Amino acid sequence: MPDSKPDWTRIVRQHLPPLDLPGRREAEIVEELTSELDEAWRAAIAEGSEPDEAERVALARIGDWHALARGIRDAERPVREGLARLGLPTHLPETGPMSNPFLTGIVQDLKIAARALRREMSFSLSAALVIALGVAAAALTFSVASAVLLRPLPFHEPDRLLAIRLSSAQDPKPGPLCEADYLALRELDRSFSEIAASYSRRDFQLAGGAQPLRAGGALVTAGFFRALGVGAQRGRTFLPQEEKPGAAPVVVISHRLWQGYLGGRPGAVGAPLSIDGKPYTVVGVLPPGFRFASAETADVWVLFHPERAELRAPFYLGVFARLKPGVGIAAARAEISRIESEIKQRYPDPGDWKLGVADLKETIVGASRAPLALLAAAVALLLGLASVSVANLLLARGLAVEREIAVRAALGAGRGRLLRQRLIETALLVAAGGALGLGLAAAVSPGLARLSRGALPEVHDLRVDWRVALFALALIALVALAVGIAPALRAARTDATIALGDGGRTAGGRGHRRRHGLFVVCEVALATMLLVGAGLLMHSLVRLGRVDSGVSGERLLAMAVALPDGAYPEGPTRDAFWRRLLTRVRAVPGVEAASCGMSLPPDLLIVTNPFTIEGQAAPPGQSPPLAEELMVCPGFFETLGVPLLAGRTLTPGDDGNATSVVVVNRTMAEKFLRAPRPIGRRLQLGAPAPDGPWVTIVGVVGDVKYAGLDAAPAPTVYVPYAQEGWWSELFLTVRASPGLDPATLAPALARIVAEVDPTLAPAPAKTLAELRSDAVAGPRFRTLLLQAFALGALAVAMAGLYGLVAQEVLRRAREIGVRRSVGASGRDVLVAVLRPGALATLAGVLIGLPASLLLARLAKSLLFGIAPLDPLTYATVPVALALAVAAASIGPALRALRVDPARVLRSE
Amino acid sequence: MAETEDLNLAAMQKGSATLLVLALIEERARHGYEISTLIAERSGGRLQLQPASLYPLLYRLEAQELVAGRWVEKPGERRRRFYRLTPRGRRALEAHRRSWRELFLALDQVAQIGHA
Repeated sequence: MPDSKPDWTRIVRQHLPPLDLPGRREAEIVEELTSELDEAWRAAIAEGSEPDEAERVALARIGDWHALARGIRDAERPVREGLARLGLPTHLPETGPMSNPFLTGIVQDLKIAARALRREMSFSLSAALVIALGVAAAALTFSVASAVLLRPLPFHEPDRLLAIRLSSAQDPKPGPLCEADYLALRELDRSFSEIAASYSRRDFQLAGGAQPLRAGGALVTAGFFRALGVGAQRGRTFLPQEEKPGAAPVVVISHRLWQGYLGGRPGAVGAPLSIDGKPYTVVGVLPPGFRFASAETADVWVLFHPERAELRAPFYLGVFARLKPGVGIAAARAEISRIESEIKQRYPDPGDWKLGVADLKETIVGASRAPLALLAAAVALLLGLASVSVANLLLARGLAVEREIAVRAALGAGRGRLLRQRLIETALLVAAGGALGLGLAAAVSPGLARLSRGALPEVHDLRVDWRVALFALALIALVALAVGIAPALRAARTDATIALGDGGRTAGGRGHRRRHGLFVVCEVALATMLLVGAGLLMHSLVRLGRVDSGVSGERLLAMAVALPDGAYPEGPTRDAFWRRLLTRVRAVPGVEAASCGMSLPPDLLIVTNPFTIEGQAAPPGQSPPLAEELMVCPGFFETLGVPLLAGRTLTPGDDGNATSVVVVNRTMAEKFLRAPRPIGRRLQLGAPAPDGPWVTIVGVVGDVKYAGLDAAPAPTVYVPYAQEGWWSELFLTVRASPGLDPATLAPALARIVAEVDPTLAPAPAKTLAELRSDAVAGPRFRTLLLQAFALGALAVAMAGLYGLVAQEVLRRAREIGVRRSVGASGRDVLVAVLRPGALATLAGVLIGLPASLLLARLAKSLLFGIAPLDPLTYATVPVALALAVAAASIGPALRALRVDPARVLRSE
Repeated sequence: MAETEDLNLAAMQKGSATLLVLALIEERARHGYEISTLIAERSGGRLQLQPASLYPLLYRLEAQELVAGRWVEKPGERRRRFYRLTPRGRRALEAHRRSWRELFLALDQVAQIGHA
């Protein structure tokens, strides 16, 4: 019998018209039909038919082969159409027996998702851009925060480094110590392996390279580098004995100075280098990039010898220490307070001051915490906003593609598969947005680094590093989950027959509109919070900008000039230099006035000093008050435009041979001397000393801000340089003639300085306006960032609103047409379509304004001159939002007005 | 079998084919030939589902994930494709049964089919 059995496969292939299906599928169908015919043939044989007869019976079962092929093609059509619709080839490649169906599915889903996203470019772009905005903002803020807060100080075991600082009831902000305190600490301490002190100086005069150079540097004690645990890259750092008086002067230099000024010569270590006219020996070169908080741009590090144990003043030393192994911070604290009481016993008039310890890193970056916390909060809001609006976009799109999903469901795609596809699509979108955001962050970060320099400490190498990337990736994943789930669940719930059946007209359903409206409420609320935050900072910055620094700052140009101690010892030589310099400068055409002073507004204060008013000694147990102290040359007030309120200003006659005199400011006169004209009264400067010298007040001038624009008015004492000239760096300040840009005088000043002393290196000059701008770098930086965030948020919220109004117009087109045809006015139509958007905005503002208080509380310490509840800001934000709403609604609203009643009705 | 009767049955049968197929593979998986023979057998020859209708229907049901086809090979036999009910198909079968029951009830109330 097997011999007579027909070759069914051949017969089927002969009879069956082509099915146009993927090869594998077609073969399968052929095999199944073969099996059918074989069964029928066997049955017929079993019933006793002859083979020929059985073959006829079997073939008769099929009947019309063309009808069969048509039926099969129809049954299989959704597959082909679905594939084509989704941009996939209708003839799938054969999958080998080894291929993993799960992976194949994923790859296929990825392809489908990529094609779908590409097909809907505007949706994909807007969603990716919103995500990119959020991620870029997050990555940037995080890179700033990580540069400032998270990256440990670049020293050995940085968490064992503690700053030791002094505070008092008068001045609760912890500050520097005096030499006496440092010496006592060195003598009495048992908890630290090393205690070091330093203070930075902007200006050292170097000679030994091609020409003289001004370099920044610091004066440090011998244990400085040991305490930090930093070694030299070449040579060595300081030895303890080099600190002792009489030791040969040595210097440690930065890698930058060695490479640049000294040409990177290996012989530079051990060679002499002239610093401030004195010969030093270079003993070491520091590793590249070494920097220390208070001396960020230091190139030379020289030793100094604290020795003034007899006087507890002035306070200028930054002191830090390294904990001994096994000693905790609590033990160190106890030790410090023991030393504090010892010091108080040694000095006869103990004040109410205190010594405290704090993490060194914290003392350097602590002040940046508040602004960074504010920025982090703002970024969280922005990310939330980005997520909400992406979810919104995805949801809207989910409706648009519902029909497509229905087709896929009809093709037999299971719920799991559908869910996976939507998730993959979302993940792809978020990944693209995330990559775009990271790229954006990387592109913007150099500019941000420039902007943040001077605004934040320790921002040197701001870059989008792996930590930032990781953070951003985690955020992306989180956002993907947040935005992917809802639309995917919705997609999985989509009922194929319903979606297919009614022509996909489900979009714009009531539930969806409500969700869309809710999303817009969220967007507006978040945007409101960011706008309030940005508004508060902006308003505060404006207030700060309006602060009167006390000088008439236009037409002023300043240049720091430092005299090397060697060539210009304290005394007549120095004084003569300044006289000579000022005479020459005043002769320059275009210079209206010129003088020199030790500090400049708004924040270049150098020295504070305790003072005692004759007959008003501080009560026992209380520290004497502190005054800002400036050494100035004659003509200082006239040049800066500081008004004289009483008495006289300082003259060339106030020199070493005359009575010691001072000029004080208004705050000193009114608050401390309690007299508007305290001319003739006497003061003692420095720590109280019963038989110390007294100085006589000859004049009162207006208040000038030297300690920052946001600082409270402080007492200031001006002493004549010719009487008290121990500071060797002064700001040469000139006032340009009316109508002349002061910056144009800079070359002339540099030339004259070089002519008066060719060994002095040229220094950059800055106008007072520039100094003022530098001083608000921090507030400006954070305001700018928050403004950018708020504008981004506003744009996103506007896009959401636009969508809401546009959808409303689309949904109600017919109704509008009908209303128009029965005579409804344009106003009626506008009210109808604008209502949902306006209500959503109102709700968003009503939620956002109170919620802004949380952000405002974070901003509180950063505000100047306004309260966190600043009424102007809270009133402006809703107005700005209302304008934005109007702008976002205008397009769709006009479209609503243009609805043609006839056409709408005809299309029904 | 009168010709009119046959035509009517064929027309009526068309809508019920899904029900028949799903119901037949409810108890166990069956191959195409078995399904069509069982329909003829159990209906006493009154219902016929020819391969030209059966296979397209099976493919459609499979695409909708109501049935799942699997090739089964037994030693010494040609391999055959067996169809079984998916959980989704089981729900669909219930829905079909419900609809048909309602239809019968309605028809009965109107046209007393039960007494015919």
